[in-house]
Amino acid sequence: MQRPYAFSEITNFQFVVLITGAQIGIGILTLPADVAEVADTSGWISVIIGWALTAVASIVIVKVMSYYPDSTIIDVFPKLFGKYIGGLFIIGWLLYALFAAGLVFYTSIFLIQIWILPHMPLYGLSILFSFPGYLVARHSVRVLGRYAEVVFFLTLWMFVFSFFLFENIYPSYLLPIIKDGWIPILQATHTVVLSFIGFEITFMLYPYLQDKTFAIKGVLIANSLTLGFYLFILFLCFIFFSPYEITSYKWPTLNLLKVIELPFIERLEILFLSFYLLTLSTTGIPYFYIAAVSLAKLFGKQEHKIPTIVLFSFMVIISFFYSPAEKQLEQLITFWGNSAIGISYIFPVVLLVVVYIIHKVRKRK
Amino acid sequence: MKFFGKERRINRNLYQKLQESFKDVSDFCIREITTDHNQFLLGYITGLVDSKDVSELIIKPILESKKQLSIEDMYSLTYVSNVRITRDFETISTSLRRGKSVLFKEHGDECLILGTPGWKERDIQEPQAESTIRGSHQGFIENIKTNIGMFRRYVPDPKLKMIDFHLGERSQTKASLVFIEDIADEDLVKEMMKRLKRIEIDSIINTGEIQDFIDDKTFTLFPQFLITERPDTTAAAVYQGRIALFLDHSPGVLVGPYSFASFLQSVDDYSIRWLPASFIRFLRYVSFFTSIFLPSIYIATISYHYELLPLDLTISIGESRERVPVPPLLEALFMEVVIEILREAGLRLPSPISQTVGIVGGIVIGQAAVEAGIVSNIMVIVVALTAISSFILPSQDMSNGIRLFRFPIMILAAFYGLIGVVAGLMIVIAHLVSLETLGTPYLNPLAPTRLKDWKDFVLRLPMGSMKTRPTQTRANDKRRQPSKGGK
Repeated sequence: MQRPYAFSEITNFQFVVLITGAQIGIGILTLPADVAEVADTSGWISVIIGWALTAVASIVIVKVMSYYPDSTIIDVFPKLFGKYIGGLFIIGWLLYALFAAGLVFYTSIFLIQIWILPHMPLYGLSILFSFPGYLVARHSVRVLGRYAEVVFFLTLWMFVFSFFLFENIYPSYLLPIIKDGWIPILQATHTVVLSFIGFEITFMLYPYLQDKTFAIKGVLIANSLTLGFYLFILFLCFIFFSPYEITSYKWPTLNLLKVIELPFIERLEILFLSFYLLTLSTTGIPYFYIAAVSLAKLFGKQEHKIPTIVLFSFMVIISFFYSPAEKQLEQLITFWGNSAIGISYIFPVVLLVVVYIIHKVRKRK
Repeated sequence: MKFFGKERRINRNLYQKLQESFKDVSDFCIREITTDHNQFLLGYITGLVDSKDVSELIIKPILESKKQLSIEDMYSLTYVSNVRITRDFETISTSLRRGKSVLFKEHGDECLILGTPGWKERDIQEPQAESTIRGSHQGFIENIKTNIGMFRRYVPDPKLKMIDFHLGERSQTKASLVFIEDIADEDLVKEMMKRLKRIEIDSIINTGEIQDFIDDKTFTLFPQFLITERPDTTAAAVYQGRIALFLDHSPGVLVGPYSFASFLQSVDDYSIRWLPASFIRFLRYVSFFTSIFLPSIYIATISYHYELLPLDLTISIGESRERVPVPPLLEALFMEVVIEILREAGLRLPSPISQTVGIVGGIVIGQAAVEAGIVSNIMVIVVALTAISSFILPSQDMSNGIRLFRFPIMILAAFYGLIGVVAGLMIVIAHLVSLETLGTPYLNPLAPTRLKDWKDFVLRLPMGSMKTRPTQTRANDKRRQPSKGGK
């Protein structure tokens, strides 16, 4: 009973790839265009600023959790606020995770419908993806970590193809470095920060981490990996497309691949997007897991197998009745984005203050 | 009367007891040896004892003896090496049924058990399913003692331990758990013992049956324990900290924990130079993926994504499919099933006939089916490639498992195209990461990533670099070679 989560400890590397996996997802497909719209080709500076903010927020999360090294955030809520108010917090956390999971799930399907299978009904795809999702999410964090590791190594090869793009690039597109002053760059940070979301799963991962001294280093490495990947894609897009062209695409990252043509294979973006689903799955699955565990916690259960089934069935059932149009999906993402910023960047700071005060008061007693 | 009967039963002597207990057992035999000085009775089961040993080592000395002998005298005089004296009827009866002979006097209840087992055995041969080019050419046979002996020649380690026990309530099959004490992890040995003790069944015939009882997860296509007939493979595994289970009258030895990566290794990898060995390893990983995914990728491409292919190739595929009336999925399923049938047919037939099956099946059916327009040329190529890829895997269990994975993924590919294939890949990964072998992760060293163990994973680096034992086995003694600069 001393260490309730010791049975499913994760290694340092699993900790890092879980966070990176959760961060890299749908965001990067649209990020170059979104950023360029506001900050032009200086947008990469916003990405670095976004990274700095994320790093600070991640460290704050680790600091909060280090007060409770053997509890996840859903164990902390009742400890801090008592059974009922704590329960409300858990419900809030559950809704947030479920919303995130659902958005990743539906956006992935939406992308597939647009780029690969235009005639496939929504429910067909949602049934298809529920199986692998359920198979991973019903297990403990350790299995999630292993899954993230395998996906990490299986998707590395995709970088190789970017070398085919280096034939016609114009690094001068990046100049001048700061185009319209600092204001647009700071404004673009709002969009950028959304792509970094995913690190808040540290709230759930922390008690499972084997070596707690690695936590801060771990979140920093994870965020930096994500930053490296984002900058790579961003620079590639900026120097490949002209500054005017890039804003005309919705998914510039995929358009980038559309250009590559090999003697034996064409339409590389179909292959890439199919494979990118692996990466998308490491974004969605942790949220499904969090939602399922929170649901199990609300009902006082240890096992989260049945909640996982319930959640995935819920997703499938919704897909039969409701298929969001592109506009609606965008609105939902904006709405979720604002709450995500609140939960991932502001909430940890508030929580840290609360926890700090509580511990001070208790010590005095 | 009743009282009388009971009395008599208590006083029954050994002879009567044996007669009663082995009533209607025709291969049980009691021989009276009577000379001027001595009168002995000798019991044994014909077919389980070496009759030459019995006559030379037991009967002859008694017949030639010039003085009266007691059981104790026989104990010290006999030429048989494995002897003991007992009064316990249960022991006597069990020993008899295990190929020992018993010597006793008509009225005594003391008994001498003599180890004279002898039955016909197969010679030591090279295991057919696991032949090597450079490795040793010995294979285990159906006798646990010979097997352990063969194994022991590789492992003269003073810390080698063997735990003996019996499996199967009726068959009482002898089994032996073998490991090196200061390498193997204590908890793993305990876990293995715990699982073996859980087995409750009347009889165990083959090592394969144990597998189902002790697997971490039975609902899976992947093997979690290695069953090998090679002493060198077993020895290498035990040196790495794994545990081996020998079973009497079964040439297969069960070794665990055995990870996914180890199933794609073979002893030959270590007896050839490391560069070609690495290349072969790499080929195996490629064939692992092709044998699961190639048919489904083909189905997905020609039914949904022909725009992926360059125009020339699309046209040539189109021409070859022109006369085929069925959708690609049915075409592929048909050919796959045909190949599976051919394979199974060839497997159990004597080799001259199985060659004919191969020719008739492969060439005649393949060629004729294409000409008749049932399947396309390219489909035949795809299916043949897939089948050959699955043969390259060193483990039979592994290739059996992944053959079955093909079919559901082919169906997914027919419904969803490449997306279905990727979903299939996700399911395979999800399944693999949740698997464990003896409580250790199945995908080690990929997940959890142990870069140190990648020296013997997809590549096989030079032996000099293998300084540590694999983390899979949680070996107590992690070091295999002294690192640079002293101990």
